Amino acid sequence: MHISDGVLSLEVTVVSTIVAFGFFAYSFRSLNNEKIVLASAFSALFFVASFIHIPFGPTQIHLMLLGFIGIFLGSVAIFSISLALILQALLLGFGGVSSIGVNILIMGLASYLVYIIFKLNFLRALNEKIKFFLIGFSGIFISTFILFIHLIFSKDEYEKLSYTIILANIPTMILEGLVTLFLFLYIKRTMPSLLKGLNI
Amino acid sequence: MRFFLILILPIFLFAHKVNLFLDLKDDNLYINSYFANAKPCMNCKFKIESNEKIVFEDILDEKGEYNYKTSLNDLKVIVDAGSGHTVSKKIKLQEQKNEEKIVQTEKIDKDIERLLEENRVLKNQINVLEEQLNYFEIFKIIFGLVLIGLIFIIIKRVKS
Repeated sequence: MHISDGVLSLEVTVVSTIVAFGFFAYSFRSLNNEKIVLASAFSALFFVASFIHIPFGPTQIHLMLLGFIGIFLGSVAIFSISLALILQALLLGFGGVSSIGVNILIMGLASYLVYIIFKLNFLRALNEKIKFFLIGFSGIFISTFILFIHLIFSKDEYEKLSYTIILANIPTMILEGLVTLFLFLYIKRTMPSLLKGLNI
Repeated sequence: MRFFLILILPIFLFAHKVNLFLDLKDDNLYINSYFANAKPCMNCKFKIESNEKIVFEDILDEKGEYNYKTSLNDLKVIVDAGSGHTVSKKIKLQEQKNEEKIVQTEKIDKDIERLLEENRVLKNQINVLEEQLNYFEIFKIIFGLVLIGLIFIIIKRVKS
C-alpha cells in the first residue's frame, strides 16, 4: 500500500500532497492533551504492524490496523499515521519521500473515514462481531479505493494495474477484518472501559 | 523517562553481540564474523569441529574472515571474541546440482579458476552485507519507536 517515489504523475502527487497537508493540519489541531498518549501508542502500533508480514501464496501481506486506529482516534488518526509514515519513509524506505502526502491520504484518510462511517451509526443494527470485522475490512477497502483513484488519474497504463490491486488486496481486507475482530473481542473481555464512548 | 531508558537498554546489550556467517562450497569453508556495530571480529580465535572433535583452530584476519579448505561436509564453527562473547554455528554441505558437477569435471584454466574464486569471495561478502543490513533494520525500528515517543512528548509539552 506504500507508494514509492516516481510511481504517480507529478500532478497527482502535488495535488495529493496539498490535500494531505490540509488534513494533517486539521488533525494536528484536533490533537488535545487527553488523546496524546493514545495517539502516540497507535502511531507506534502502526509503525510496527507494517513489519508483520504474513505469507499468502506467492506474495506476502502485512497488517495496517487502519480501521482499529481510526475508531479510537477519529480525526487524530491522520496525524498519528502520518508521523509513522514519515518515519517509515525516512528511516526504512517504506514508501517514497515525495509520495508521503499520497500515502497519508491512502492510509491516514482511510482510517478517519472508517471513524466517520461508524459515527453515522447506520450500522447499528448489525451484530457486534460483524461490526468489529467490518471496521478492519473497511479500513483496507477504503484505503485500496483511494489508491485505485490515484493510479487511475495518474497514468493511462495503470488502468489494468488499478483493478488488479483491488483484487490483490481482498485477502488483506479479510485478514485485517479478522485481526481487528479478535483485537476488539480481547479488549472487550480484558479492558471494556477502553471501548466506552466509541462509536461502535 | 524510565520507559525510554528501558527501551534503549537492549541497544547497549546488543552492541557486543557477535554474529557469524558461514558458507561451505567447493571444499571451502568461508567464515565471517562481525559485531553488532558491523565492525569485523578482528583476530578473533575460532575453532572448527566435526563430529564433536576439533579439526582446526586459528584466528580470523583483520576483516574477520577465514577460508578453510576441507573435504568434510558437516562442520561446526565456534568464534570466541573474548570477554565471554562467543558464537557458534553449524553448516552442512549443500547438494550440488548436476550441471555444477559437470562443469567441475571439465578442465578449467587457471584464469577462470581465479575469477571464480574472486566471484565466490565477492558473493560471500554481499551475503554478509545483506545479513548486516537486515540486522540493522531492528535498530532502525527501535529508533523509530523512540522518535515517535519523543515527538509526542514534545507535542504534549507544547500543547500544555
